[in-house]
Parts: sequence; structure tokens; C-alpha cells
Amino acid sequence: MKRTSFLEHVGWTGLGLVYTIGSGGLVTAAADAAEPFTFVQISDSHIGFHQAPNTDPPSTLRAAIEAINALPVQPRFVMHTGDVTHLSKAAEFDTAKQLLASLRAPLFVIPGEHDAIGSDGTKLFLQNFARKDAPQGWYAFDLGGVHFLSIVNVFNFEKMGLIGNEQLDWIRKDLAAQKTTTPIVVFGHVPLYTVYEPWGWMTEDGGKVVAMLQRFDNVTVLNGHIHQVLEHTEGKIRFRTAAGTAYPQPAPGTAAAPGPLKDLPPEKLLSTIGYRTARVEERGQVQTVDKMLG
Amino acid sequence: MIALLLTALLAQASASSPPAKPAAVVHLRDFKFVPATVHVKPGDTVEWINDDADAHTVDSVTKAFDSGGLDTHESWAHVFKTAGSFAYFCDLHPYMKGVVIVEKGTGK
Repeated sequence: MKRTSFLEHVGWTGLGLVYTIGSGGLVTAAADAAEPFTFVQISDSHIGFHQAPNTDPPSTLRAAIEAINALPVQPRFVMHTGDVTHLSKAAEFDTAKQLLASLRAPLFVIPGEHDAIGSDGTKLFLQNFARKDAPQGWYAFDLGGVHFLSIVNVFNFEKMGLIGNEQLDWIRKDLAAQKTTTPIVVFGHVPLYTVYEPWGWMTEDGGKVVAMLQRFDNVTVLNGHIHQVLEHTEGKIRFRTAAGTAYPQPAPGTAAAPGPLKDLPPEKLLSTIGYRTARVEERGQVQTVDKMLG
Repeated sequence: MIALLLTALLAQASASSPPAKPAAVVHLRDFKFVPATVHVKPGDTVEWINDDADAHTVDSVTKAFDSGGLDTHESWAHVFKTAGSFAYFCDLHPYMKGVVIVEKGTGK
């Protein structure tokens, strides 16, 4: 697929949305449906990784894409929540882009820290996956009565995750325009709440976003980064971390360090990686189902 | 003719000579820099070797040096020309921290 046609595939194509850029650069869109719908989250594909327990992450990403394409009802969009690549290399971005181009549904991508190594990595990520109307990487949109917020918490030098004041101001303005009854879905790479501080599985200023979300009746926060499914609830906010498509990591605090579970028996790999379907019900509740590849 | 050949061989040897032997080697192991502190002299080379299954980086806090992404078993070296204390961290896992202390004295 040519770059131009891929960029058309990234983002809005097929969503049937009308969107505008409002004051302050906020991206808004008019919802086109009130009926239940589904979307899919994939994460942590680590194209370029080549060690145990997965020496071929492109093949497992391809398997996830084929499974998503075979869903009886196609999702309205697929969101990749970061770490598309392992080392932010141009060839890795290119391979990932080629694979993701085969998704039938429109694609959104937000970066993980492995996609933003050095200034060159960040530049390559934005060149490959940023939307033209959101060149800084973060954006919001509405679909089916749900307000979706895609945030970036991996661009700060020396701290990770961190959202930063510029983006926090943008989030504050964006959420201020939403009704308390509007269902909110937030995407990010690193979990917004503190999963396990000694391993850095947290967003340092994530609490500020969580505080902004407290007033809403129905909030779902979907993250990647830790390569495993975890569920957590704070008040009316439900947090769900996703499995990756490349390899699992240890449960928080159960090993000397995080990182790939290199001693995982090969026959168990596919049962630890996969994708997530999310069904938005009529009242805006988001029901997630995690589907492993084996 | 022999002299020309020898000159060519010497030039080739010079061009491909290995970098200076590192005065200190730091391993990136279990998400730590080991050792976290090394002492060298001006002109010395420090080498970092990634022993982990995950990727890491070696980034100066002042952006004075930056290894880029280091894959498993990959290494990277930097020459410290001036005296001082050079703190660094892993961009992917910022809680991994280390420091190179370049002490005044006769170096290379």
C-alpha cells in the first residue's frame, strides 16, 4: 500500500463522521449513530523484537489482524495503543505500517515509549501514524454518543509516563465541553493509575486526568504497556490494561524486573497475546472482551 | 611495489583499528546499570552492554550523549573528554539511573 493511501486508512476513513477543528485546536465530531457498536484495541506489537518468547512478532501481529478482519461484525475502528515498534527504527515502522494496512476497519495509533526513542523515533512515529489534523499526537472524537480521548504519555524526556502541562490543559478544555452523562473512553499507552511504581508502571501526572474524569457517570480507560490484562476501578472509572500482540510480561512485582517472559514455553505464547473487542451498549457502557490468539 | 603494498596494508589496518579498549564497562542487567557508578579519566572510553531481553538506552540527563535504542546484546561506547560528573538514565525505563565520574588527572 502506498503511503498516501495508508494515511487515508489511518483515522477517519469509513467512520462516516463529520468533524471540525474548534477553538483551541480541539477536534470534535458529530456522532452518526446511536446504536450499539464495537471497536477493537490492539497493543504492544514490538515489531523488531526477536528474542524469546517471540522471535517473530510480525507473524503474531498478522494473526491478530486476520482474527479482527474475520470478526462477523467489523469494528467501527481499531485503536493501537502503542509500542508498535521495538526500537523506533524506520524499517520497523515500515513493517508495522504494511501489516496494519491490511486491517479492514479504520485504524488509529497512539505511541508507546518504544515508538518514541530519541527525537528521531518521535519524528518517525508522527510521520507514519499522526493524523494530519492532530500533528502533536493527541486528539478527541465522538462516535455513537461516546466521547473518545486519545492521549500521549510517552513524549517527555527523562520521565515516563508523563502527560505534561500542554496536553493536560488541552484535556481540561476538551472535557469541560462534555456533559456529565456522556460516556467517556480514554486511550493511552502507559496506565494512568499506579499499577506498580517500582517498575514505572504508572503515569506520574495521570492522577490529574483521573481527577478531571471523576465527575462523569461512565468512564472507561484503556491502556497497554504492561502486556497483560488487568482490571481496576476507582469510583465510576474503569481501567483496563490490554495484552500485547508480541509477548507477555510478569505480573506486577512477581519477578526481579519487568520485560519479556523469556522462559515461557513456546506452546503457551499464543494464549498470552491477542486483542480486545469493546462493545458500546445503548447506554454507553463499554463491555470489553479479551481474545487471545490461542 | 612491495613498499606500496605495505603502505596500503598499513593504511587499511589503521582505518579498521578497533576503538580504544574501554576503561569501564557497564552492563544493563535486570533493568539496572551495573555498576551504577564508574570512575574514569579524561579521554577514557566507557562501554555499555545490554544483557536484558528488553531494549534500553543510555541518555545523558543534559542530552550530552544518547545511545539510541540498544537491542539485546548490543553495545555502545562513548569517550569522555573532560572532567566532571555525567548522570544518565534509560529513556525507556527512567528509573534506571547511572553516573560516570570523570576525575581530573592524566588520561589518554
